[in-house]
Amino acid sequence: MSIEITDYFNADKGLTIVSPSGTRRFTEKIDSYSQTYTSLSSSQDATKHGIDSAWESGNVYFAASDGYVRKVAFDGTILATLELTNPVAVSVIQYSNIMQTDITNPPQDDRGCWIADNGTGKIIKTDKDLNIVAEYSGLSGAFCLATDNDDGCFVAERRYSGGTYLGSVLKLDSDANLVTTKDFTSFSTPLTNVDEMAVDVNSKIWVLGLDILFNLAINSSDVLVEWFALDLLGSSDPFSSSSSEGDENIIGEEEEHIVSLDVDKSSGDKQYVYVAGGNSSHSWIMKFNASGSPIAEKQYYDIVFPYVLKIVQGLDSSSLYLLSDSAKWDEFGYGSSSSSRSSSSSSSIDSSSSSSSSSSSSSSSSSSSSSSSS
Amino acid sequence: MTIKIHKINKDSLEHVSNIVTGMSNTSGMTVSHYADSSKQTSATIPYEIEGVEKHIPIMEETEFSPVIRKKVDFTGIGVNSQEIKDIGRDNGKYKYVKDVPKRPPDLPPNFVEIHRQ
Repeated sequence: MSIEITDYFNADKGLTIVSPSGTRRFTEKIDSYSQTYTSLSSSQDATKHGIDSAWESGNVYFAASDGYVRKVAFDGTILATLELTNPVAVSVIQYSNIMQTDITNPPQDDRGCWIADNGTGKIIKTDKDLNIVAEYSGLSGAFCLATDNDDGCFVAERRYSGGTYLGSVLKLDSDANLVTTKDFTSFSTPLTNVDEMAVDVNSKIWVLGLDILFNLAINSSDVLVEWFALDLLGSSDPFSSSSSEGDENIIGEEEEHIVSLDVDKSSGDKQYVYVAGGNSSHSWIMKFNASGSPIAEKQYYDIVFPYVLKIVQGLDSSSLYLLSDSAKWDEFGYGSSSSSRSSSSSSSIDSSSSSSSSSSSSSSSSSSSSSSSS
Repeated sequence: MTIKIHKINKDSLEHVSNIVTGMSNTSGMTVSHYADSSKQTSATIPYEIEGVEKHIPIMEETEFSPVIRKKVDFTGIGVNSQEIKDIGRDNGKYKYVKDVPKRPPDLPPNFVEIHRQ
C-alpha cells in the first residue's frame, strides 16, 4: 500500500531587511505579516551592499555584525556560516542568470556568492555552502559587488590617497582572476564613488555614480568599455520635458540624488533598468530599456529618498520595492547644504495624488554623453 | 525618522502600498523572489480512515490530526457530507445529547471518511 504525494511550492516572494538591531522579513504583500530575528544583525557600519538573496529558494546571504557571512533561510534558519573579518558586500551567484518564466520545482538554490572582506582585503567566491572556492587578494576598500553572467564578478573599490578618493571597477573571472580594471578617472565623467552596480541579461554592467548612469561591457580584448552614460540630473533632468511653466518654483528647492538601481533579469522582453532618486521630501523612478532609452517615469510625493530599489524577478513578478528613509539623505552626505548638483522638478505633476506620472517614451531625459572609449 | 517599504507596480510605476518597517536604522534590503517555499502536500487516499479511541483518524499508524480541525465525534455513524441537525441522531461513542456534533465539513479534496460499524 502506498500513498502518492506530490510536493509543490508556493511561488511567494518576500523581503528581508537587515539592520544593526536585527533582521525583519515581510511577505510580498508587506501589509499582512512580518517576522523579526534579533539574532541576525548587520554591523553598525554595514552598507546596503551587505545583503543579497537567491531568486528561487529565497535564501539570504548577509554580512553579519560579528564578522561572519551567514546564509539563512527565509524562516531565519541558519544554513551556512563563513568566518571572516570585516565583510561588507555580498552578491549571490544565482541558479540561472535569467529568471525563467516557469518556476523550477523544487525551487533551485543559488550556486554560491561573492564576498568582499575588507578585513583581509580579499574578494572571495564561495559555493552554496559558503566554502571558499576562489579568492582575489589586495583590495582593502571594496564596497560593492555585482555577479556577472559568466559567474565572475564586478567589484567597485575605493581608497583615500593624497587627500582625494581614488577608485576603480574591476572584473574578476569565475576563478577570481583579474580580467580588467577601469579607474574612476577614466569614466566619461570621472567618478569619486559608485552607489550601485548591476549586470543585465546582455552582460552589460550598469554603474551608478555621481547621479550618472553608466553602461559598460567587457569587449573582446577584455577591456571594460563605456558605451554610454545617462546624466539624469544634469542638463536634461528627468522631468524637464514638462517643467517649462512654474520654473520659479524651482528656486530654493532641495537638490536630488540617485543612489538606487536594479535591473529586471526576467525572461521575456521587459528587461528594463530602474533607477530611483529624490531628496528628503519626494522621489521618482525612471525606467530604461537596455539601450538606455527612457520607457517611463513617475514622481512620488509620499516617498522620501529611496536608497534601495529591488526588482522582483520572474513569472508573476509585477512589483518592485523601495526602501526609503529621509535620514539616509544626510547619512549619504547630502543634506540641505551639501549641494553638488541641483535639479529642477516638474511643476506639472499632479499634486492631488500620492504619486503622479509624467510617463513614458516622450521623456527627454537622458543621454548626456555617449562614448565607446576603451 | 520613518523607514518605509514601498511596493510599486513595475509596469505602470503606480504606487501600490507601503508599510512602516518599525526599525530605527537599516542597512539594506533584498527580495527573496520565491521565499516561503514551504511544501504543500496534495494526496489522494483511496483507503479507509478509521478513528481509533481518538477524535482523529489514523492511517498506516500515522495520525492525520490536521484533517479534522473541529471537534467531532469521529466514531459517530454517518458521513461528513451529511450534516447532523438533530440532537440524539448521533449514536457514536460520545453520544451527543446536548448539542449537535460538529462533523468536519471541510475535509481536504479526495478525503473520504468511511465508518465501520
